[in-house]
Amino acid sequence: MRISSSQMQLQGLNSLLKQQARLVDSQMKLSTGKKMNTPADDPVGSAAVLNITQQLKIIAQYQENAETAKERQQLEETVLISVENVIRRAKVLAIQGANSPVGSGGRSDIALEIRQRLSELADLANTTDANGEYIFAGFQGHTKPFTANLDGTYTYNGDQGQRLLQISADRQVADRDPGSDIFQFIKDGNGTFSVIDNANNTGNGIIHTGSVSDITAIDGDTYTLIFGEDTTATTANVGAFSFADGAPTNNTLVYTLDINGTTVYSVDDTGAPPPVLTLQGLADEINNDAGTTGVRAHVNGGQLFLANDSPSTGDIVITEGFSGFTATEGDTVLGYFGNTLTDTNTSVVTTLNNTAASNYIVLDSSNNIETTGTYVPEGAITFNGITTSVKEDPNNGDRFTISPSTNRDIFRTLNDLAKALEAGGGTTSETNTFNTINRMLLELDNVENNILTIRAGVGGRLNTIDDQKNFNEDFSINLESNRSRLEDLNYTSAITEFEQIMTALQAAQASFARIQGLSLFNYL
Amino acid sequence: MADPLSTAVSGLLAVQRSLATASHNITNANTEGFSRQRVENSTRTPEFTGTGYIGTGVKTDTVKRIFNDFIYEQVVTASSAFHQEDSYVSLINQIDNMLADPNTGLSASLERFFGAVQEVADDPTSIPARQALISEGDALVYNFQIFDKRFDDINTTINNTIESTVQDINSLAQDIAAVNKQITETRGSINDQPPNDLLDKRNLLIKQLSELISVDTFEQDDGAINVFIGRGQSLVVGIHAQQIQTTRDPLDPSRLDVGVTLGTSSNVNIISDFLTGGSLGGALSFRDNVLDNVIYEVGRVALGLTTDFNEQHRLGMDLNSVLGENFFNVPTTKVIASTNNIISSGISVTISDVNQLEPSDYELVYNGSNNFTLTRLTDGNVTSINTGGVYPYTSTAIDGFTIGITAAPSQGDTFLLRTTSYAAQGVSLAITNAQDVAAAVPVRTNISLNNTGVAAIDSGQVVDRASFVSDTYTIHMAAATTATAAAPISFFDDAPTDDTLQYELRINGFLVNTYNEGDSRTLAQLQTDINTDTANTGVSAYLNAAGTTLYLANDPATALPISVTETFTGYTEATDTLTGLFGSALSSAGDTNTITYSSPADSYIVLDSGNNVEASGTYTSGNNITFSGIQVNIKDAANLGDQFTVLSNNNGVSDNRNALLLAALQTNRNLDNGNSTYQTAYGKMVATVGIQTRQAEITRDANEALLYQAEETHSSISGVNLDEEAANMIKFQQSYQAIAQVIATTDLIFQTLINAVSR
Repeated sequence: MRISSSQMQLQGLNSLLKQQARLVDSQMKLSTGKKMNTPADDPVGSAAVLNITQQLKIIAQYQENAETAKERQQLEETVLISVENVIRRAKVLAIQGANSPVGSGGRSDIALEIRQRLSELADLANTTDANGEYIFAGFQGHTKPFTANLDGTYTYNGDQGQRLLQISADRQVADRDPGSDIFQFIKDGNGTFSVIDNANNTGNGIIHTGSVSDITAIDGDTYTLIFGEDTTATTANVGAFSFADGAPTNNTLVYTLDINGTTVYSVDDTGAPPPVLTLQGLADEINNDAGTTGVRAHVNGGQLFLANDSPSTGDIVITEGFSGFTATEGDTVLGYFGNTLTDTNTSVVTTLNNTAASNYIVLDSSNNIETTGTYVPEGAITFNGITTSVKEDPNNGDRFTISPSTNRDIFRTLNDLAKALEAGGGTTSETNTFNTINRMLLELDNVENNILTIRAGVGGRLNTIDDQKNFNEDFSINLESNRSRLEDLNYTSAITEFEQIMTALQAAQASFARIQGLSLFNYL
Repeated sequence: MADPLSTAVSGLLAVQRSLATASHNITNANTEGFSRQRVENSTRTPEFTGTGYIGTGVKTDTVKRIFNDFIYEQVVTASSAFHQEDSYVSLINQIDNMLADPNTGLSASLERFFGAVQEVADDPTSIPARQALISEGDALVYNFQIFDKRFDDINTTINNTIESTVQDINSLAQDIAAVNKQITETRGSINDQPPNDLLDKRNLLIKQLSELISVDTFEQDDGAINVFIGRGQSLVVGIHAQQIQTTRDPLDPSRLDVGVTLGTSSNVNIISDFLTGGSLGGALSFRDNVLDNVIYEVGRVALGLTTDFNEQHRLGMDLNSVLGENFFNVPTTKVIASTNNIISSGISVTISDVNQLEPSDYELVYNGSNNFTLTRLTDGNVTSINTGGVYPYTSTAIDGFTIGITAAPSQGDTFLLRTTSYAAQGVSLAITNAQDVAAAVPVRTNISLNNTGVAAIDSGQVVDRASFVSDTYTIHMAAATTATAAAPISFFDDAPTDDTLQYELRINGFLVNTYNEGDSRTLAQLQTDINTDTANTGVSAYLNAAGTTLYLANDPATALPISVTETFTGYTEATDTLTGLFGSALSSAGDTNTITYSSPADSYIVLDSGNNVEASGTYTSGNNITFSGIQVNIKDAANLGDQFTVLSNNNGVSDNRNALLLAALQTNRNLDNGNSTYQTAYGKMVATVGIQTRQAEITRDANEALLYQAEETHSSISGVNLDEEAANMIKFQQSYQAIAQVIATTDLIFQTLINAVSR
């Protein structure tokens, strides 16, 4: 084929330029260390790299978040351990306080330390982090969560908010717990129900904190355990009530029933008012005057159960009286309490001693009797799934309330404990103090359990964070290697290529010069 | 008579011409567009003698240009194609490099921005973290603007290219017309010999023109060549050149188009869309196929991100416990009326859902008769809109926006709807104060300390800012009852004179009310009856907003069941009956009925602080409960009377919930109908441009090879080979020497004869 001279020159030049362009490109790759220097070099790969880079950045952010979350858990855990120590100390103090020989003086010393521990606890609950944020205030980090009231209780000013941090695309972890969960939401009693003695109890009966014997039978009602006495007023005796009037025309026989000196009921043989015919009727009559007599009756199966309406040191005096009779006519009345009254036996006084009650009944909130029994110290009292027991000697009218567990805050528990210890030896009985201390010991157990639960949660979160961090780390390495595969240069092959192009360029240059030197004109 | 001398002389002349031509070839060996020439000789007319024809020597017919029209046509076409791709590649490389830069690309600044959001989520009370977010927001906005500025610069480059190319085309057209004139003139005069160098010059001009734009040529009989561009638009006709010109795009004055004026009309017809090939075609094609798409996509990302971010930010609460405001200023959509319009106003566009937006602008044309045609510019997808003659008219949502038309424009009026392309330049930061970053959610929830059930509530969020009212709401967990209103209460008294029928309602054994014949009760009255005795019954009643369902709940909360006892008294006849308010059918045979409502609660009712009912319904564990723009989620078993409070998150400075929701926008698929995140949408665009760049480079290289091939072929035919010319020179020299020898010999013969005669 015919070739023009300029074409020959142009061709040589073009091939030189092309080799040079390849050389520059190759050199660029070597200097940046990347296969792709513009998206056009590998459009799909570059989109993937963009994606991977974004993911890596996000993961790096997650790692940072995880680290922050971890630091905060650790701070919380430190505080919780201190709280636990305070509670343990309070328990030791409470047990000391429950020791009779300590005496009231010793107890008030103990109360003093409890108060100190209480304020220490409040300081812990108001812990701030490095930013000055209260860590137990929920969302309100600039609001002091726990403030003291005049009566020694504390108010929670925070909320139940819990802040979460993102530690992976689909995993968020709480960085702390709200103060309400740690210090407020603590079920009292045994978690299902709590028992509390009446502050006015006169006996020294101490009630056991109880246990659940049948969870399905627990119905959430509030019960009152009342100590008192079964009387001789029975269904049979009530049914047998009758007057025997030897000469009905010349007199009117009257039967009176006094309780603690107040006539609660009287009836004459003319039938006005008609005699009550049931045990419940009798109980109603007695209860109508409960305000005056301070005694209330309950129908316990076939028996009338009497108890002081509120705990009192007074005995219950039941007086059956008979009047209106004419002597020698043989007039009698068969009283409700089974006594036969005659003209020579015009009244019978039965005194129910205020000490050492021998019977108990349990009422629900509608005053229905749930169970009754003869009091045996430490004998099980069981009803509606609840089992408890009382020891020592409860007095007639002493009572205990068994109510569903409610939330009780930690400060109230310590405050109540301190108050009980301070009150020891005062007007309120030592029994009441012991009952309260017993109860507060249980509450302190509950507090401790709650702190342990929260700490377990913190530990769980720490594990989660560590797991996630490891996973993130692995994922990052994976992504890094993917990215490297996509965009990083293989130096061995790149340098080989560079050398090849260099050689080719040198050859092109040499041949170009030689070819251009050839011309027929040289020989003319 | 045949004269050897004259024969020889003719030979000398012919050889001299050949040598002159060779010399011309050699000297023009490197002249662009030059085609080698060859002297064409033939024998002179022979002399007839009785003994036959005697040759009389050589004569030069013509000087011929060695040239192949067909091959040259290929050169012109290939050159046009190559220069189109070449200019396209050089433009697209600018974008490709800009997108790829890991430090300046949008991707990096998106990452930094969302990283800053996470930092706020980590530490919502930290002012420095909030300040950093604002700074990163500023950087992001600046980055969008920088991108837009770069696009603007590239657009200006294209405008300049168009401007100068049009000038060059016009000047080349004039040159071609001038050469046409010279050629037709020479043709007409002497001997019809080809004006070789003029033809070369014209071919060169056409080739230069083809580098700017693709041309079609047609040779007239008189030797002039007509040149056409686009779809038959004549540029050169004979000795006349038609001028083309640049004109502003009527829909986008920032853009230049190519147009022509026809005849005496002053209207400029835009022919840009028909122009292909050459550097002009490359620039136009780049503008339509790459630049626009990139602007649309960057605009869409800007619009999507800022709109979504604002929406979420406005659902949050700032450090001063105030509802969040816009974080970004999102520019309002631009509608541009064509400068040719008769009516230029009355069209508006409102973005309704950024998730549905397509990365494109739209053209709206009024066809008359209330018919509009909406064309998506990226793919030409057409939607017809008929307003039905009712104005103002608002269209249904199309690709995530609606069009408002206040009145019908004039037929043929055209509007450009810049749904996405305007966004990148217009976004700015609306927030300046670090305190104003809404990291919190305006509500929080509390579980009542008295609850006996195990139900838990989430921390709640605001889902609708417009209907959100800041208040303290209480969610009561209750039992739905079958209670119905009765007017009057449904007694049936068989013998009204002898008895008074009564209906007693007891709750938990406590007599709430006794109703007599003729009494009527609305549910609201029944509610009041029940609530009057709450202290005795431990039960509260609630009524839904419609007043159709009565709910009962323990008050205070307990785990106890609620019993409702309906009793029928006072009847004497066995046929007397009563249907109680709670639905018990009572008669002498069964004059009392107890309905028991046990935990867990099957319903909820939400009251505001004024005890107004905000919502009520069936409680399903884990389902959302929505009221007053607030959404909460309660799960697990609740007892009757359990309560949850939803209250204003005042002082909730440590709350980062909204920051988390804002951070989630980074990975949520909020674009492309839920198919892309902001970054994947951007990444897709980077990949698309990358692919386009690569394709263009490949096409350019292929076209370059084609051009070289055509040029080589052309050059191998028409190019000068110096060795060949040298060889020719030797040939001509020898020929000259031989002819000179003929003259010498003739002279010798003649001398011999003279000498012989003169003796």
